[in-house]
Amino acid sequence: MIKKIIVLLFIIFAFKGCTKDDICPPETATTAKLVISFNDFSNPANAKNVNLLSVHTDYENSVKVISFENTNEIAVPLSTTSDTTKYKFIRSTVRTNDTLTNIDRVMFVYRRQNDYVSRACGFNTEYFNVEENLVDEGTENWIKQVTVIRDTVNDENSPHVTILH
Amino acid sequence: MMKIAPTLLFCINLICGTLTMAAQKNEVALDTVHSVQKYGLRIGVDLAKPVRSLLEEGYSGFEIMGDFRVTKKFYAALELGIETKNWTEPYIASKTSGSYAKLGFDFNAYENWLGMENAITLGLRYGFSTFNQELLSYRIYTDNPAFPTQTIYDPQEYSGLNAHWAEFILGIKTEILNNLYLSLNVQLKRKFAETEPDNFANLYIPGFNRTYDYGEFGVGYGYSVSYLIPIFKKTEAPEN
Repeated sequence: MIKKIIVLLFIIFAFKGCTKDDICPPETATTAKLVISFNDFSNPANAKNVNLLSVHTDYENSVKVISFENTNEIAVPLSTTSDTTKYKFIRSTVRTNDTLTNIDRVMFVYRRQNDYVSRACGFNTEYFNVEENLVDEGTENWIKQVTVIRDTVNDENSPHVTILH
Repeated sequence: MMKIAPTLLFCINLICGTLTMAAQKNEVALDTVHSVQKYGLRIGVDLAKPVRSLLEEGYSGFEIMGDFRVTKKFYAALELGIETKNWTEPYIASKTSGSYAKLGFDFNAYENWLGMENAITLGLRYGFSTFNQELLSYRIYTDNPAFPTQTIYDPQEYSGLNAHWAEFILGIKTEILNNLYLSLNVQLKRKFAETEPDNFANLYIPGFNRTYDYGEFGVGYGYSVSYLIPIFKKTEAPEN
């Protein structure tokens, strides 16, 4: 009888090994991205697609973050280690015999706070007082105006920033 | 996965219960000699914790226990212990240290043969722990390669934490020498109150062991040696 119980005890300990605490579930609210919508400069209430858009980080080692065709809403990450994030928004216009690219630079400035999420996900970052800073190139800018709508980034439910073009 | 443990324990109970009852019936008919039951205070130490302290990096612990036989089948039981444990997850490293006490009773479900003093015990405990926790380092979770995160070393100490739980203990005790017992137990715990540190969580609670984000249950085990200080003996006429 004692042998039977010992066997059962071993079974319990074999099962106790793996749990969903061990991996961070993808649906968990970890660090939120900055949601940007693109609207029409001449009619700011209306969404306006960008035909070919790619977003790169604007540092020495520039990294492509996303690229889209015909989109009016994107989400880009903000740096969790710095109080600023610099991006290059590259719009490409395809013409019959060449492609025009127009690069505009936007810097986002904010305050950060790290919050505990869970055992497997560690911490996330919340961003407060988000401000935009568009590098002015005069008439060369394809981005006419950048407006912060929600200056706290802790969810991705609706746009934080609107870009008029 | 945690839901399986209580079910299994319940099954063990059922098996123990029925087997013991079956054994009992056979003995009563044959047994006519009076049995002597020893009553007294049994004190012991958990052997598993010092062994783990030696073998496992980032762990140290010690537990003493005592039980006092109140009736033929019931024992009042107490465990006191201290534990320090480093808990490391991919995104978090923390260290918990503190002490705990568990108070309750054991019920001996095992009907011994004449002169034997073994036990299969089902016990309940109220456990509580006071402890400190230190967040040693952490990382921001990200699935985005554009901004890789770094481990942040910014130790923060959270002191004066406590936790309360109820515990079910299933144990086997064997008398290996006169009045000297070896026992093995498994514990299923359910936490019902705790003070959570601000902007962090209790990843490990002394006496309770690791916690789970998606449930209040915990598990544990013990392997202990204990000595019975006999205080008085009762002679019992066999039941007919």
